[in-house]
Amino acid sequence: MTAAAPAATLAGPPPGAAVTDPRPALATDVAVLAGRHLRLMSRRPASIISAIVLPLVFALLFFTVFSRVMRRSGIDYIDYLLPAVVIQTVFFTGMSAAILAAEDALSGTLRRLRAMSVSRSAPALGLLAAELVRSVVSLGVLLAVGAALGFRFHGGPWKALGFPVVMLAFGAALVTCHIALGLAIRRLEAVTTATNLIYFPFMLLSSAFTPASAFPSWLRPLVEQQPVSRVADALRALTAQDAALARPLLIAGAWLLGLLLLGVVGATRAIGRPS
Amino acid sequence: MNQVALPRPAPVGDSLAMAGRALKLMMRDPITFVLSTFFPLILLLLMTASFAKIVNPAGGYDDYVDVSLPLFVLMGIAFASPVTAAAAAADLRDGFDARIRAMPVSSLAPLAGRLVADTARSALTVVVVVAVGVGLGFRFTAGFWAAVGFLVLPLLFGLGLGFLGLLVAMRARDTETVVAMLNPLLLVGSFLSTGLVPKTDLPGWVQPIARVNPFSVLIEAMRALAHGGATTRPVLEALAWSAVLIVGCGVLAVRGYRSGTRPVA
Repeated sequence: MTAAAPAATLAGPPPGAAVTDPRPALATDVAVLAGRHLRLMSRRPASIISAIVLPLVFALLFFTVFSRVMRRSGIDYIDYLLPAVVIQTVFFTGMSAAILAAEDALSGTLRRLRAMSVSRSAPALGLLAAELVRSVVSLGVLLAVGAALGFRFHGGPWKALGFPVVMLAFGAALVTCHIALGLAIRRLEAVTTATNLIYFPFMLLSSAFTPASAFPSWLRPLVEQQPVSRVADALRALTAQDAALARPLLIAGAWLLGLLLLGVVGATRAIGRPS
Repeated sequence: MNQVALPRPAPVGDSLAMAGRALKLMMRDPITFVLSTFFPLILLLLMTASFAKIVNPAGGYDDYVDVSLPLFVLMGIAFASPVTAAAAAADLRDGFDARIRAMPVSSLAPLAGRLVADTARSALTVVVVVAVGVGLGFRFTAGFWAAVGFLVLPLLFGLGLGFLGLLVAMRARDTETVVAMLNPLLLVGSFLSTGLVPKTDLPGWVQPIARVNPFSVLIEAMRALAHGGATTRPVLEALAWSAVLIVGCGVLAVRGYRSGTRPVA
C-alpha cells in the first residue's frame, strides 16, 4: 500500500476528486507578498531610517526649534505638531512604496508574478498592506515620543481611536497613488525626484506645521483647501477636546476617496503596461 | 639604448580629468540639480511663507529672508553632499577606483576630482539661491569684499562636508545607506542652529549646542558679511570649523580610501 501511494499521486488525483488547478487565492497571495515586502524593508537600513528615525528626528527638531515662537502665538506646539509629523510619515511611506513598486517592475518580479497563478491585483495590494503595516509602526513610535513630550488626546478614547483610522485611510490613498507613480515612471531616480516634488509643496504649503493665518494672504485659500491641510484638520478635530467632528471628517473623507480612486485607476493602468 | 618613457601620473591633470568625468555624470543626472538648486529654493520659499510670521509677527516676509538666507544656502550645499558620497561609494563598489589604481594615474585623483566638481556645484547653489534671495528682499549692506566673502565661505564649508561624505562612503559602501545615514545628521545640524529662529528663542539646553554647531557658526559669519557688524571673530570661527572638517575628515577619508583600494594580495 505504502509503495503504491506515490504512483497514485503521479497518476493524478483519484477518480471522482475535483481537479485542483493551482488557483489564485487573493487573500493568501496578498499576505505572502506583503510578507515579502516587509522582509525586504527590514533588511534595508534606509527603510528603517525613513520609517523610524526620520519621523522622530523631524518631530523632535520641529518641536525643539519652534515651540517657543509658537507659544508666543498661543499654540501648544506638541499638540499642533503631532498630526503634521504623522502626515509627513505617511508621505515617507508613500515614497517607499513608489520606489519598491518601481523596483519590482524593473527587476521583472511583476512580470514573473503575472506568469504565475497569482491574483493580478495581489502584487499592488501586498505592497499596500506592507506599507500600511510600516506606517502603523511609525505611528506607534511617534505617539510614544509625542506622549513623552506632552501630546494628549483631549477628546477621549473614541476620538482617539478615530485618529489611526484617518491616518490609515490617508495612508491607503497616498500609498496607492505612489504605487501608481512608481509603476508608471519605472526609473528610480526620476521616482525619487517626482515624489519629492509632490511632498514638499503639499507638506509645506499646508496648515500642517503652521496655521494658515501665518501665510501671505494671497496663499491662504490654497493652503486652507488643499488635501494635506484637510487631513490635518480632521486629525486635529480628533485630538481636540470639543471640536466639531462631522465637517472636517467629511471633507477629508471626500478628498481621500478622490485620491484613492485616482491611485486605483492609475495603478491599474500602469501595472498592465509591458516593461 | 632608447629608454621607454614610463607613463607617469600627473596629479593635477589627472584630478581635472576626474573632475570633468564627475561633472559630466552630474549633468546627466537631473536629481543632482534638483537637490542643489530647487531644493534650497523650495525650502527658502516655503519655510519663509509658513514660518516668517510665527518667528517674527512684527516683521515682513522679506525680513525673514534677510536673516534666514544663509541657512538655506548652506542646506542646499549640505544636502547635495550625500549624492556625491553615494556616487563615490558606487565607484568603489563597482571597481572604478581599483581600476584607476592599476593605471598610471595619481591615486588620489578620483577623490580630488570629485571634490572639485562638488565645489562647482556648490557655487551654482550659492549663485542661484542668493539671486532669488535678493529678489525676495535679501540685501548686502557691508560692501563688496564682504559680499565676496559671503559667497566664498559656504564653498569652504561645502568642501568640508564633501570630505565628511567621502568618509562615510568609505565605511558604508552601500549607496542608499550612505544617503540614509548622512541625511538625519545634516537635518539635526541645520535645525539646531541659529538659522531658523534667533538663539534666544531656542530652548535653554539647545542654545550651547547651537552656539558651537558649525551651521550656526557659518550662518553668523555670513550674516555679518552681508549686513555688517563685527566680522573678524565670526569669520575666523567659520574658517576654523571649515578647516577642522576639511583636515579631519580629509585625513580619515584619504586613509580609508587608500586602504580600501589597496590591491588584494
